[in-house]
Amino acid sequence: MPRHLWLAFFALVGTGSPARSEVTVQASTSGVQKGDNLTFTATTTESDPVVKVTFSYEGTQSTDEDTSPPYQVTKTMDWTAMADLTVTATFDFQNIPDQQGTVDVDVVDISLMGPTQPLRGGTVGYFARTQPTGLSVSSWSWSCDNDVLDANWTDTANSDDRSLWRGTMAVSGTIEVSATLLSIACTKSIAISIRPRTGGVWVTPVSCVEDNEPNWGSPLLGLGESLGQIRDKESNVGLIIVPQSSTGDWSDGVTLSQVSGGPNKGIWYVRTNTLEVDMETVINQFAKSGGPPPEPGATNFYDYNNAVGGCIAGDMADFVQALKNHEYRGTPPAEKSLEGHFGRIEYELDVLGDPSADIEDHTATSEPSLMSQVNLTLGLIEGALWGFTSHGDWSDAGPNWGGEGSLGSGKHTRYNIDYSQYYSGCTFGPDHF
Amino acid sequence: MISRAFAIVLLLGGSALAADLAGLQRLLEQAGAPGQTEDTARMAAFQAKRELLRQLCQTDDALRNAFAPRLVTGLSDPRPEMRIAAAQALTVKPKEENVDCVLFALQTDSNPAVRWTFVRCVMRSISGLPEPARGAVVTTAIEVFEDIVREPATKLELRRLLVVSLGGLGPAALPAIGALQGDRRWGSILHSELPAALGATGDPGACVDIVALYESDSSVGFRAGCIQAIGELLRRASAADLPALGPATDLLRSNILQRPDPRLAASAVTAYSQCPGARTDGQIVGAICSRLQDASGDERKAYLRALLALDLPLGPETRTFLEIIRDSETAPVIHRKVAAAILTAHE
Repeated sequence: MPRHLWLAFFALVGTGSPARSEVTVQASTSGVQKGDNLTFTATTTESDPVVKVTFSYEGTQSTDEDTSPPYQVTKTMDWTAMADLTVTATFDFQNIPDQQGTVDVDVVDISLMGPTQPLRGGTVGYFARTQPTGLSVSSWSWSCDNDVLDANWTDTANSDDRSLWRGTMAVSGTIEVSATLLSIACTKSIAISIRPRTGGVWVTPVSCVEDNEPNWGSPLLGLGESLGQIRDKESNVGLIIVPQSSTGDWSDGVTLSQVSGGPNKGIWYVRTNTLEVDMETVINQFAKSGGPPPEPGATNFYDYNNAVGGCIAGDMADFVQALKNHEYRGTPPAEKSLEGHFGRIEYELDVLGDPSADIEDHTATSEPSLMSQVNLTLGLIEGALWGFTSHGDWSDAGPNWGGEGSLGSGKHTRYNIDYSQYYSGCTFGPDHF
Repeated sequence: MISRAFAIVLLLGGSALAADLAGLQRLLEQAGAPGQTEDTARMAAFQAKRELLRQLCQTDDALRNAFAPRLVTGLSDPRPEMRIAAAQALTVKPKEENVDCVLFALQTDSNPAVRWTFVRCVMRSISGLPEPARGAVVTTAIEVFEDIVREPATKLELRRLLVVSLGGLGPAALPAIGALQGDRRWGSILHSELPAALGATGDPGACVDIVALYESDSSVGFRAGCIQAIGELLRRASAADLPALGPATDLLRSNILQRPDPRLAASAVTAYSQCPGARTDGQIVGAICSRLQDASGDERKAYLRALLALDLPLGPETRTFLEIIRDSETAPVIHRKVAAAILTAHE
């Protein structure tokens, strides 16, 4: 009997009965995907009053009853996947023995297995197989729906009962597989939530070497040469997150890759990075004890300001220490101090979050687009870090210098090269930037 | 004529962006000045700004243009953070008029941190502009930058950023850089920034000046800066430029092979790895691989970065060494990080 026809099974019950009564069970369709509903309708030609009809199902103890016509039940076929699953309807008559009828239906399914929380950048496979196993499938249709770039793949390699979609995962989404099993269209999906990579390269090392260039600095003239500076150690310029070009491009610090196959095929992601904060503070050699004079024969900055009657009489050692602390981690030196440029950078990195971790989830449909996103994110962080560390309110009053109880005085005088002498008065204060 | 459907999209999209800007304004009001506020308020303002920029990136030109007047107004907002946010939003995609607005604001703003951001925004945006718009903006930017460098009141850090940024504007900025270099008032103060500025121009002709600067100052820090500037030139060089860069590559090779100073050797390795022929330079590759295990500190970091940049094949010994570094708890974190990146790249 063809499967696609509604099936009817006849039972002849009660030998010796004067007439053959008939019990028929019909299913709303010949088969369903596991979890879908089927409606079963039982009918009889027997004239004896029906007390109830009990529907029972192969593979489960569950039964359903109906006491009034039409004797019908809608059943969610969710307990097994099986070809030719038998459903039996038992009529309980008032005066005569029970009579039964059956119908066979196909309940099929796709089992879809694979990690639901794969690590970004990891290569994983999603495995689909027929249930029951061994069914012949001519083609498997895969799709991945996500917010970046959807992917589709049709596996027609063979008439196998299984299919594998494998590739590097970069973005969350939904993977769906479809196939026709025993003429029943089946679909299965799985929600994928990507786990971010943490630790290792996704942590940005942050360091700063204090007073790192003994020969740095120009004579402290009236034009504003700075006493000290914090800067990138390698390039000696004002960069925080490196490697970075002077135009705010971090392409040397990240490796971008395109997924070559699988559910996230075509998507670009940040494969790895070597970002770091590797700074140094430099203190002007002309400000230090024993530093060179601004021009031959002149008194050096330290001695002039330190002299009796000088701007920082007898206190220049503290002034230079305050200067170092201002550039580094405040007074007293402490990690994440708000009184030192480097401490403030450490502090704000804590608030804003790690830059490497921040770009970990960036994805795009093209390499330039991804690089642009990375540059935008890192540029924002870089700008915020500079904004926080360079903000001037904390610079001129506090434990380093300037305020009451501070380590050193911030007011000093500088050398006027045009007249080969120091300026009169203590008019030069700490640099706010 | 604008279609009804598009008009609705414009209206809705514009409203969403406007709402974000209003939200950002509220958050910035709560956050106040960046140096003084609660971390949570500052973080919320940062995230709001980031979301606004993300939306501006993703939206189309028509919406961005419709939104731009609000941002231009924001450039003169009394709150520094609002001005910074407005400049970042205006330049999130390269557009000549918007860069001009930020350049104008740069001239009139007095806050060093705001000006610092304006310069960075201008530089990022200019690099994405197509010609001939780029040429016009570059000309303006060179004038503005040079003027601000010469302003007596300009903070030194900003002045330094401007000098390096001048270089980033390309060969057209060379006369301005030369003028500053020769200026009695600024030449010595900006001395340390000159190599970076010259390198940032990308002009192979600047190579001679950088080598001359290298020879003129024997301090290691300055020479390292010159070497990095050469690396920047090499990064942008085409095959036709390489002969002009010959003296510079010779300087790099001698610093690597003769190793007069570990720091200079490290800088030279990093710079030379930008050279198109570096991967096939047997002597240099040999030096990198052989010294990798013996070097320490920044020098080893440079060799590791060079391995990554050159994408050299890993022999068994090198691979094992990289695995040891990656897994070592005593190795500097950045060494472990770069080693991990190299191994990931060779998976």
